[in-house]
Amino acid sequence: MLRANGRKHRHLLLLLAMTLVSRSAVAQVSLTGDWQQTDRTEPIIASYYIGDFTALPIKPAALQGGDSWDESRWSQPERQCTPYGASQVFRNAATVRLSEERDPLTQTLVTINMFVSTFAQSRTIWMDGRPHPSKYAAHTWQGFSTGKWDGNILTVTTTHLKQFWHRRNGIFTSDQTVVTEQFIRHGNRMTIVSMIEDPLVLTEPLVYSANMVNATDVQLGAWQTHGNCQPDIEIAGRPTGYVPNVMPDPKRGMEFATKYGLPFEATRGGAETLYPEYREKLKKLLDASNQQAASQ
Amino acid sequence: MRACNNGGAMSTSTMTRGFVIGVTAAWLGVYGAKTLAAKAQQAPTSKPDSSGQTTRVNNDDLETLHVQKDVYLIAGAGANITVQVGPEGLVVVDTGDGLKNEQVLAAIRRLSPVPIRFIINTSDDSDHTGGNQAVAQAGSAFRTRSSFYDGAEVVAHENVLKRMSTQTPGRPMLPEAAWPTSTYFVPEKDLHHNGEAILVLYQPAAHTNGDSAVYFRSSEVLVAGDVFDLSRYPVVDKGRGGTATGVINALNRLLDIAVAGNYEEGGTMIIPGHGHICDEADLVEYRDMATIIRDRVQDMVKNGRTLEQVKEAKPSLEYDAIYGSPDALVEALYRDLAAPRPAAVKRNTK
Repeated sequence: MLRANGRKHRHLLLLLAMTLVSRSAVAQVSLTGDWQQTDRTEPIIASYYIGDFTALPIKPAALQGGDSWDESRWSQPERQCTPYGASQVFRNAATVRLSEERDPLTQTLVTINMFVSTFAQSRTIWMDGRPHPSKYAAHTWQGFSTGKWDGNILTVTTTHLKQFWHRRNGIFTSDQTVVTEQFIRHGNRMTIVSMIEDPLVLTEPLVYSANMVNATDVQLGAWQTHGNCQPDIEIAGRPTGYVPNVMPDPKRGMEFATKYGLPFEATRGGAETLYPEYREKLKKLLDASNQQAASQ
Repeated sequence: MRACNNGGAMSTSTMTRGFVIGVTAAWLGVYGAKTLAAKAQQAPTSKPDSSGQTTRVNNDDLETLHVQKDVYLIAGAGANITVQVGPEGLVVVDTGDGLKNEQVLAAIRRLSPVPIRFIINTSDDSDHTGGNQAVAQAGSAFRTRSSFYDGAEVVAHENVLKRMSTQTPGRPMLPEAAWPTSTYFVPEKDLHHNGEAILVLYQPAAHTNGDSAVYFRSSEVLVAGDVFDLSRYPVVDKGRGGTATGVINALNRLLDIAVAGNYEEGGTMIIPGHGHICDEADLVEYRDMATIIRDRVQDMVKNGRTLEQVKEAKPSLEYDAIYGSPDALVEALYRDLAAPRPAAVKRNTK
């Protein structure tokens, strides 16, 4: 019953959102400029506890990666300089510079270029209608992006992404991930909504949003030096091919659950935990947990 | 470090977020569907790859992609086919499954009209050697003492020749024209062609006991063979001398050779036995996967678990959606790790 009501409300909100969008979709805008992130719907992806899988619509099998996670994986030389991929850029404290490239003769928009300060990443969003590359083409951190204007909303589709992390505590992405982003400018501010589809790991799309403000005094220099990350052996004495990991053990996540007073089950993620109906279940789980604690 | 703003209030904020996320997801779905539909209507015959380079799409489903410098990939004819192009003639690593020989030769000819000088086989798998005869006969080796045969010189580890020239159950003996004409039995065979050092590296007891990796040194392209296969878990063919630990050793050797570019992207490009063009970051994910599964099986073996118990514990569960059934790999690992170790030789210290 609750789920049915939730769906009804969602449909009404969907209609409302589309109406608002269609009213504002009168002209293509320029996104050119420097943008500073002001907030986002998720905490920074880099800082998650072992066992914190909250609000991730993951398949149960994916949990095993988290249950065997060893934070020392980041000390592997091959991982020390890995940047955030296109699906994660706006889940961090990103500062970006957007610019355009136009055909010199026709002034038709060819690309929107994005420079991301963190790890000095560059993204090219092709606006000339070209298709995505062959499935045999190399995958990159920023993938291959094509964009299309719908009124004043820029919709960007990105494929060919490298395997990365839905959450950097062991929940990895597959290289089949597709990211659809919408860049929506409201005057001096911009909202970016990202939808991450990864059918091999997620049961439904992972959606989040971030807000940015147009800024003229942004410092983009922190990471922009090309080649400023040089991996090295951080921990001596490891044998060749050593990969930090532990035997899968869900109980390792108990510390996180206890610290935040959450029922352990709620920390395990899953699409169900994303929806308002889960509130009722969470109450019951908390009640049961409190009763159990009281009886001990 | 962590933003600890989801303590007591987490349940409420998570749900509100979830509600908004749900609406937005549905909303985006409309746009996503539109975009996909529009995209599907544009069937390309020539595509740019991620670096803006052209992918030639042949009419026969083969695709030719520029990998780096003088090296190209022909995909879609069984295992990946690698071609080094240069004025001295072509080097072809693996020849596909033999079902599309004409198309493969046409794709090679589109790259260059110069003669095919060398074929290098990374194993004796039929999807790597099926086109040997046709491709070799279309080429011509340099006239040296070893060129007793017409056509291109076929280089492989000696165990590849042994198997290809022997009748084995389930596989007929291949025609002589498909056999390697130049074999090696040492850890490394070196060639120099088109101004480039080409290292043929033996990967002992890995996928089989005849595996080679091929490193085009100045092009910085490493051809891995089937020890690195994006389409599935590593295949360990015990009947042909393969071992799971050998596969992991082979992957580590490839990682030793590969050098990543800036921010762990590009640099040495790696062509897997099957799947898309890779670099070190892709290879390390595959190596880590194989090593983590190995570590789990090893732990269970130490604790006296039987093979059935190990399988029931699903030591590869999080990877199965990507790489398929793990049974053969788990069996191979168990076989390697549970095997009694040879007794240590007692030394007389007196």
